[in-house]
Amino acid sequence: MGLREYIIRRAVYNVILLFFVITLNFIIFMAMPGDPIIMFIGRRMTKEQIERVKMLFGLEEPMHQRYIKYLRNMILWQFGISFYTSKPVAQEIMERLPNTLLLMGVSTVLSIVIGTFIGAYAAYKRGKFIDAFTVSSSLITFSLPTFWMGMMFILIFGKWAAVLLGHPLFPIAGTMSRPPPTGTLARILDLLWHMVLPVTTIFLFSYGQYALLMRSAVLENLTEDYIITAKAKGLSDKAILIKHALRNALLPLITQAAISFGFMISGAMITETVFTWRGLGTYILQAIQFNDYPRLQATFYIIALSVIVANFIADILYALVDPRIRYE
Amino acid sequence: MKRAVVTALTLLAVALLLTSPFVAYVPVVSAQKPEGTTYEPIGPRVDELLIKIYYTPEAEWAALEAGEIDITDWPLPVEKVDEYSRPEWQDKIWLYEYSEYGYFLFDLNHRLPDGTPNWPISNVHFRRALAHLVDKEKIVREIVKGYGIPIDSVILPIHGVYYNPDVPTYEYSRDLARQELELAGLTWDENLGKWIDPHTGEPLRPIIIYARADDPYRLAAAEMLRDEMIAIGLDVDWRPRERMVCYEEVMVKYEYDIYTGGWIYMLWPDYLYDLYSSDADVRPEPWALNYPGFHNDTFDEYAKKVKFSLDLDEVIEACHECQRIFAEQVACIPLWTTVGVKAMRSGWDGVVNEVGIGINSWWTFFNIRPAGKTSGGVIKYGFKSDIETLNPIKAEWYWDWEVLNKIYDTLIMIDPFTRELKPWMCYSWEMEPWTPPGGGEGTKTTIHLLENITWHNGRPFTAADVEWTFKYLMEQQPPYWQPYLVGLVDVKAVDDYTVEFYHNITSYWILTWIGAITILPREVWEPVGANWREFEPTTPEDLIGTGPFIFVERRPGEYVRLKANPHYFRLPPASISVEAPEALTKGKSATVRTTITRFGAGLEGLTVTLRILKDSEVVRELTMSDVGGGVYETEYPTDLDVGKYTVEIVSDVATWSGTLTIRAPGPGAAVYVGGGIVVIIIIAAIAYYVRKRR
Repeated sequence: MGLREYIIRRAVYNVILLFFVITLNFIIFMAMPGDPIIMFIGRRMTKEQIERVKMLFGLEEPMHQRYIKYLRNMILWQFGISFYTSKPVAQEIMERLPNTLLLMGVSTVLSIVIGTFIGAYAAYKRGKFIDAFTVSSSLITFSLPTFWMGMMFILIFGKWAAVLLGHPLFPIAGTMSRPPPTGTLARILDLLWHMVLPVTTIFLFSYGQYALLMRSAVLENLTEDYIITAKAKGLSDKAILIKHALRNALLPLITQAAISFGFMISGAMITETVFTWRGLGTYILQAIQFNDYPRLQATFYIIALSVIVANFIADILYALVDPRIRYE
Repeated sequence: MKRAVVTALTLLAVALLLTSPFVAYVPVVSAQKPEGTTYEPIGPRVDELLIKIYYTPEAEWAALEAGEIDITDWPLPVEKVDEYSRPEWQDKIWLYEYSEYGYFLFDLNHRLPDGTPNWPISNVHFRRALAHLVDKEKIVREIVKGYGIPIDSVILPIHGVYYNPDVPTYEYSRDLARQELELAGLTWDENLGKWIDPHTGEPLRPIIIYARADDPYRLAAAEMLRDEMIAIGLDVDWRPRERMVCYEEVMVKYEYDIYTGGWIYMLWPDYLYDLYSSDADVRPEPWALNYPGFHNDTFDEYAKKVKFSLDLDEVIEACHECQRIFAEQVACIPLWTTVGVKAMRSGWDGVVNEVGIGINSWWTFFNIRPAGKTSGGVIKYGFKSDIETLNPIKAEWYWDWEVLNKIYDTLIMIDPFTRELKPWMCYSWEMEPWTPPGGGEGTKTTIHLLENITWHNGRPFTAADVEWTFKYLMEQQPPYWQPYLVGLVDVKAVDDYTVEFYHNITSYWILTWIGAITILPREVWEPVGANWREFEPTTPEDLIGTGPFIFVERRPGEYVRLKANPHYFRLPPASISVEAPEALTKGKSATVRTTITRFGAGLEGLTVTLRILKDSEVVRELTMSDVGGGVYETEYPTDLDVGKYTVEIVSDVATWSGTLTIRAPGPGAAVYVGGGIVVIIIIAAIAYYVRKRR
C-alpha cells in the first residue's frame, strides 16, 4: 500500500469515526437525566409560556426529527442558540476561541519544546543528579492539581505580593488590565503580562509528560545497535545524542503532540476558571453547570473533530517520517 | 509515656472542639464596620463604577485582598469570615452581616400525581410527627455552622410587619413524634419493630426522601431527618439526587414524599398565594409552583386576600392568618433562613447594608464615596460571574441586573431598611377602585411624575415614555416581565407628567409591580420591536437610560465601566462661582475663572463654555480650560468693540450669567509724557518770569 492509499484509508476511517462521535454526542445528551427547560422555569412562567419556550428551542419535536436536524446542523456548522444566553453558539465559540488558542498554544508549544529538551538532557545525563531531579520534578508538577497550582500562584504573586509591595506582581485574573492601556504595543505587552501565571500553570502541569516521554525514548534508542555503530565510528556523545538518538526518539512525540494540539480547542477548563480567562474551557464548564445542550453538543463536536483531525495529521506525519508505517 | 500521649491527645481534641465552628452559634460575626444603617436619596457621589469580573468566588476574594476591587457581590464562606476577622485584616477589610430573603424547608407532598391524598403525608398528625423529628437548632448549629436562623414560618422576620412570630411550633422530640404517629392511626408492632399502616394492616410503606445531592447543606439536613425517622422505626426510601433529577421527580412527576426545597429572593409575602394556594397547583400538568399540593380552603381564602386586597391592614392580617394555618397544618416544614456576611475594602463612606441583600445594595453605589470626602472616586465592584446580556427585556441573570439597575430607573423604589415603597421618578400616586369594561373589580393607579428627569442622551423624560414602555412589554410579553404585568389592561399618559394604569384585578402589590419595571427609551426599542430576543445592546447608544450611571463600555468576561450621570435628577444642583472683571478697556484682556462644585467638591472634566453676547447675539464663544479642582479658566478676547455685553458661562451641570463693559481707551502714554513736559516747561517759565520780575 502506497502513501496515497494509506491517507485515503485513514481519511475514510476518520469520517466514519466522526459520524459515530456525532451520533454518540446526540445520544448522550438525550440520555442525560433532567430537562433543559428547567433553566427557564421559575415562579414566573405559565404553562403556555413553557410551551412557547419548548417550541422556540425545538424541544417539542420527536426524537428522530431532532436527530436529523442535529446532523444537518453539525455538518453545516450551525450550532443553534444557547439555552442559557439565547445567543448563537457558533458566535460565542468564535468570541472565545482566540483566547483559548493563545493560552493553550503558547503553553503547549513551550511544554513540547522545553519538555523535549529537558527529557533529552536528562537521558544524556542518566543516573546523574540532573536526571533524578528532572524525573522527580516532572512527576511532582504533573501530579499536582492545576487548580491548586493556580491558587498558589494567585496567593504568592497576587495576595502576598500586594501585602509586601502594595500591588500584585502578576495579574491574578483576566486577559487584560481593567480598563486596558491604550496603544497596540501596550496592549500586547499587557496581554503577555496577563498570560504569565496561567501559561506557567499549564506548562508546569504538562511539560513533564514530554520530558519523561523523551527521556525514555532517548534512553531506549541509546541502547540500539546503530548507536553502538555510531560510537564505534568515533562520534562524540553530543553528536550521537542530537543526530541519532534524538531524531529517532521524536517519533512517539509526534503522536503525543498531535493529541495535545487536538485537545487544545477544549481549553484548560480549570486553569481558565482559576485565572478568569475567557476561553472555551470556562465556556464548557458553564454549559455543564446549566445543562446548556446546544453549547455542549457544539463544543464536544468541535473537540472530537479537532482530535480526529490532529490524529489524522499525526498519522500522515508518522507515515512521512517512518516509512514502515504506510506498509502495515 | 502512653498516659502522656493520651492526655495530650485529649487536650488537643478539647482545644479543637472549643475552637471549632460547630460550637459557635449565631451571631456568626459582629460587623466590624457598624455603619451602613442609613441612606440618602441623593447621589450618585462616585465618579465611576468599575465592575470587574472573576469566574470564581476564590478569585474574587483574592482580588479583594490584593486591593483590585473594593466591594464583593457574594457572601463569604466560614473560613473567609474567620480570616478577615483576624487583626491583620481589620483595618483593610470590613465585614457586614445580613439576613437573606430566602429559606430552606422540607417540602411535603400532600397528594399523588392522580390527585388522590398521599397517605401518610396527607395526614396532619403524620406531618406533625415529622415536624417533631426536625431539630432546627442543631441544623443551624452543625450544618450551616451558625450562618442561619431557625424559622417556623415561611414569611421571615426580615419581612417586618408581615411576619407572624406567634405561629404554632413543634418541639424536637421523638416521644412527641411517636404520639403524633399514634394519633395518625399508626400502631407500633413490637415484634416487627415497625409502624403498622391502619389501612393495610401491613408495615407502613417507606417514605421517599429526595435530597439535593448537589447542595451539602440540604443533603445533611435531609440525612438528619432520615436518621431520626429510622430511629423511631419509620422506613425511608433514601434518594439523594442531583438537582435536575430532583426537579424531574418532584416538580414534574410529583413522585416524592419529602423534598429538600428552598426559595430565594422572596421579597413580598404575596408568595403565600403564588406558592401555596390551591390556584398554584396545576397538576396533572408539570411545574406547579404549589408542587407540595397543599390545599386548605381557609388558607386559600386568606392567601387571596394577601394577593388581591387593596387594603394594607387586611393584607397584613391575612398574612398572619396564612402563617398560622400553614404551621398548624404543617403544609411544609420550614427549616432556616440564611445569614450571610459580605466583605469590602475599608476607606469608604456611605455604605448601605440593605436588609436581605447586604452591602452590594443599589443604595450603596448611589451613596458611596471615599472616606472623609463628599464625592468622587472610582468604586471597583467584583462579580463572581460574567454578565450574560445587557438586554433588559430578556436579562434574568443576577449579575446582568446588577449592571442594568444602575443604568435604568424605576418609578418606585423600596426603602432598604423598612421595605416601604418610596416615590422615585414620581412624587405621588393614588390607587382607586375601577370597573373594567367586562365588569368585575379593577384598580386605577395614577402616578404623578417628576418634571426634572432626562434620559442619558438629554431628552426629557415624560409620561409618554412610561406609556410606551408598558405597552411595549404588554405587546411582547417577555417571560421575565410577566409577573409584573398581571392584570394590566391599559396604560394612559394623561399629560406629560401623569400616567394612569388600569388593572382588571385588585391588589395592594400592583404598586410593587408597576414600580419594578424599568422604563425604556422609545428611540432605542421601537426599531427593535419584536426582535428583542436577538438584540444585544453593546454601545452607550443602545443603553440609554435615566439611571444614576451611564454605560461607557463592556468587555465580556473582563469588565464593565459606568460613569456617574451628571444630570441625575436626584443630584443636588452644582454651584458655580465666577471671578472676572465687570469692565475692561478696549484692547485689554483679563482672566475669567469659574469654580464649579457639587457636594462641596470641585467637578472636573466638564465642558465649560464662555459665551459673550451683544443684543442676544453670540459674538464670541470660548472653551474654558480645566485647570483642576473644578476650576476652569479662559481670557477675555482683546478685540471686543466698545459697548456693553452679556457674559454666560455654560456647563453640563450649571450656568452663570453676568455683564462686561468695554470702555474706549484713554490718551496714550506719549500724550501724558508730552503733557507733563509742557506743564513742567510752563511751570519753569512762570518761575523764571516771576524771578526775573523780582
